[in-house]
Order: sequence, then structure tokens, then C-alpha cells
Amino acid sequence: MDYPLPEQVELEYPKDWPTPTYDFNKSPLTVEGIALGRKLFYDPILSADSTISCSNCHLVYTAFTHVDHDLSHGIRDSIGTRNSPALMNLAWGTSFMWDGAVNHLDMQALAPITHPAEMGEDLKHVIQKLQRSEVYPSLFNLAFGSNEITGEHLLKAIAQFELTLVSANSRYDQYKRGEVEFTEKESRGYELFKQNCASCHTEPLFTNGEFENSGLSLDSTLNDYGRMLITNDIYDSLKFKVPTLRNIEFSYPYMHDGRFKSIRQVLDHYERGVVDSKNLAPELKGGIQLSGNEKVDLTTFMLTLTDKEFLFNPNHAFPRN
Amino acid sequence: MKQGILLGFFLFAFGLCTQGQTLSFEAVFGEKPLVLGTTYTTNSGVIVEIETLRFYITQLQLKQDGKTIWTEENSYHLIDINNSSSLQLSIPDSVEFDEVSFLLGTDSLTNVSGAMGGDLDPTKGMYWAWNSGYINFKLEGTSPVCDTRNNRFTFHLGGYAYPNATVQTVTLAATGSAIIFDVKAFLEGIDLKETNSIMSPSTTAVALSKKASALFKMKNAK
Repeated sequence: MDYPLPEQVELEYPKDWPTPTYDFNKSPLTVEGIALGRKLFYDPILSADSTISCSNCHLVYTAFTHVDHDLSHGIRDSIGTRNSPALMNLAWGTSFMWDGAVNHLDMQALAPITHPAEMGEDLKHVIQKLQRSEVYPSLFNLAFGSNEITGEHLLKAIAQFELTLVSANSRYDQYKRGEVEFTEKESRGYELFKQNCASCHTEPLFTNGEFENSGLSLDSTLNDYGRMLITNDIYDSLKFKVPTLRNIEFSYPYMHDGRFKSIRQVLDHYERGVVDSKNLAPELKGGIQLSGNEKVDLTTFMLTLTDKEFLFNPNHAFPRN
Repeated sequence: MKQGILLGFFLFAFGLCTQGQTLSFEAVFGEKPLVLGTTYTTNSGVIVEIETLRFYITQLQLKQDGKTIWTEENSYHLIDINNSSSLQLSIPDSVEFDEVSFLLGTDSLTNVSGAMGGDLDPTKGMYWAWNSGYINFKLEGTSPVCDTRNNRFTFHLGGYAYPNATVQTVTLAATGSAIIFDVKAFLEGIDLKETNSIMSPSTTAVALSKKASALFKMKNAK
């Protein structure tokens, strides 16, 4: 049976944003590729015992993170060692995972699929299961022009769906576009943000994509040294990816191990909990000293980063058709 | 009638295949051909059995008088001793060359380019999911001296970023009929008691990659 060519689409994002790092010329987005990736994202077929899908730890209504879980869990109730990151604006990502273990969005899904405490599967076996299914071979054909399912096409399809998860219509974005005005509190909070947070949580993505030691003490039950486990460089000890602050209202608990339940706890850490070390982010030397009122203002600003259109976008949710 | 046409087609296709030259790879253990699942003894008297030998040959080039006269698009070949069809690389019939050059492994651009197909498809088991990058060279087996689970030794050599880049250039004078790789020579000097599990980028992986690259030889070369 002949299938029509997939229909290419352009990723929509604000004009003043940087150019995405993802190479769309090499791997163009298509309607069929995105739909296939979305189906795969919500399908537990990717896990060894068909119980866990990507969406188990990345829930749409909480900015695609595992709300209320400090550490995420996988098949057979195994507990991982990190808090599942919120997923958004991935087309601008330069590395993935808290420690940057993955260097390209295409390859990211391989990590949870194969991790014994996450989906515990083998890529070859996933492909056998998909190939045997009644629907997937033709869906792969629609998206990639072949009934034969490959690792390349599986990973690219999931990446295509993830690339569409663009959050760019928060109250902050509307303010920047001149559509709404900030309250006094929000404006004061924005000023405090620019003075104290923006060097790492850089606008407009609210992350600079770098790895920093934010003065968190080592949790001896996890012994997670972060970036150092990837680079073997002692200078990278306890460094973790700077997470975006977009939709932070919904992405709690915070930090790589979910140790803080509220924004207030995070700000208290930056005020008086920072553990000094040689590679501490220099901006955090001596902590970030804010008064109680300033913390409230700063938090008020951070709540303007909530993007309800993103959180409740029906195109991101479980595909019901 | 239909069968006759089909047979004719096959003969034609087969003819095309045999007309071209091939560059073949063989693995040996010292003087003997390498047979997976067979026990061998190293020069230091250690008994080993090889289960897996796979590596990437990329950016294949043929040269004549020092000039590159042939290259190929998407030059990525996963050589797998357990898959005989992977051991024959076809090259055009028409070229005369006196030197063969290739990379043992994949270059850094390949390692940061996302999901790729064919021999680079991550289903081939040559990709690290939890520290992105290709495994350029894989040698697995068992030896009673390895104090590991099931006495296994595992050499997964990879890494593309400074200072642990493992890709190596190999250049050979085209004097023989096949390119051989000697596993015995590779294991020579490695104390399997101490060094038996390399599964991430490291200085050891770099050193062993250099060693491996120097062990490709032309068969029957003087």
C-alpha cells in the first residue's frame, strides 16, 4: 500500500527567541511524525512489563514532570535516583538529563527505555513489540515511509512530539509582548530576579543550559555527584543542569533529587543553606540575601512564568482518537 | 516464462556483485583464524574465549600515490565477526589503489548528530544510552583469571570528546588480500586480572583504541 508523503510543519515559537539548537533541516517535523511520537509517549509498550509510559513520570498538567515525587519510579515500583525533569522548550536544549548524560534530544528516550529502574527494556525488543502490533507499522510508514520500524525512526518520532512542547505564552511572555501590565509586586519581583537569578536562569528560556554547583549538600543516601559522573572531572562534582523556571508553580518538588517542596524552601536554601566549595557557582558565594518581603515579590514574579495554555494544551495530552 | 525472467534478474544482480572488488576483514588469534566460542591461550599462558568482536570502520578511502581517489557517502560500516556479510565491503571495480585508509570508530560529529540509521542505528548495541556516544570497538569474552561475574571481560571502547576521544586513523599499504585484526596481539600486555571491564570513556579506553588501531594489518603483507 502506498502512503502519502508526510506533511511538514514548522515549529512555532516567538520571533525574538534564539534559533533552536535542534537541526530541523536534517529531521523536519511532520504531522505524522508528531502524532506517532505522541502515541509512543503515552504508550506503556515501551517498558519491559508494559506498565510504564513516558507520561508516568512526565505528566502533561504539571509541565511534564512527576509532581509530588522527589524521586521518580519505574517498573515494578523501582525508585530512581533523580527527580524527573519538566519537559518544555527542548528544541533549545544543548544537553539532556540533570547531568547532561545525553547529548542530543533524539537519543534522550534511549536512557529511560533501557534503565532498569525506569522502563527496563531493550531497544531491539521494543521494536519487535511495535513491529508485531496492528497499528504501529502503518503509523511508522505514514511518518517515515517504511513499515519496517527502526531504532532511528522510533527515537526521532518521540523527539518530534517532545519538540512541539513549547511554552511561550505565560503572563511573563504576555507582559514582554506588551499585552498585559505587571502588578507592582510582580515588577519588583522581576527586578529582583534580574539582579539575583538571571545569570543562570537566563531569559527567555530561564536556563542558560549550563551545569552549576548550587551549594546543595551531598545526600549520602544517593551519593549523586552529578556532572562529574559523566566527565570524570572533579571540577564538575555536584554540578547539575540549571533547570528552566518556566511553569515552576507546577513542577515541584525542586532540585535534581526533589529535596525542596516549595519555592520558599529553595529561596531559603539560597539565603542560608548554600554549602561553599571550590566550584560553587560564584554568584552564590555568601548566599542570596533577600528579606521576607523580597522573597514574596520574587515568588510572585516566578508565578508569572506559569503558562496555562501550555499546561492544558489538548495537543499535548493523551491521544484519545 | 516468469521464472526465466526472475532467474535472469538474479544472475544479473549476482553478476554485478561479483564484478566489484571487495575489501574483506578477518579476525585471527595469532596464527589461527578467530572462531567465536573457542578457547585460546595468550602468550602469557592465560586461557580466553572470545564471544564478541565488533567495531566501526568509517570514512573509508582509497588512495593512489598519496592522493585520495575514492571515498563513499555515509561511510559507516559495523564489522561484526559474527556476521559474515559485514566482513565484505564493496569498492568499485574500476579503481586502482595502493593504499587503504579508514577511521577505527566514529568521528565526533557523528556522535553528536542524534539518531541515525543503518549500521549506526542504536539497536545495533553500539551506543551508550547513559553517556551519549558510540562504542567504537567492542571485544567481549571470558577468562578464568577474570574475577568478575561469569569470568567475563568487557572492552567497550568509545568516547568522542576531549580528552577521551577514541577514534583512530588507520592507513595500510594495499599489498594483500584482506585486512586482518589479531586479538591475541590486542590482549598481549593486558593483565586481564586487573583490566577487564572498560565501559565508559577514559584514558585507558584511549590507550587501548590506539593499540587496537595499530593491529590492523594487510594479510600476506611483507
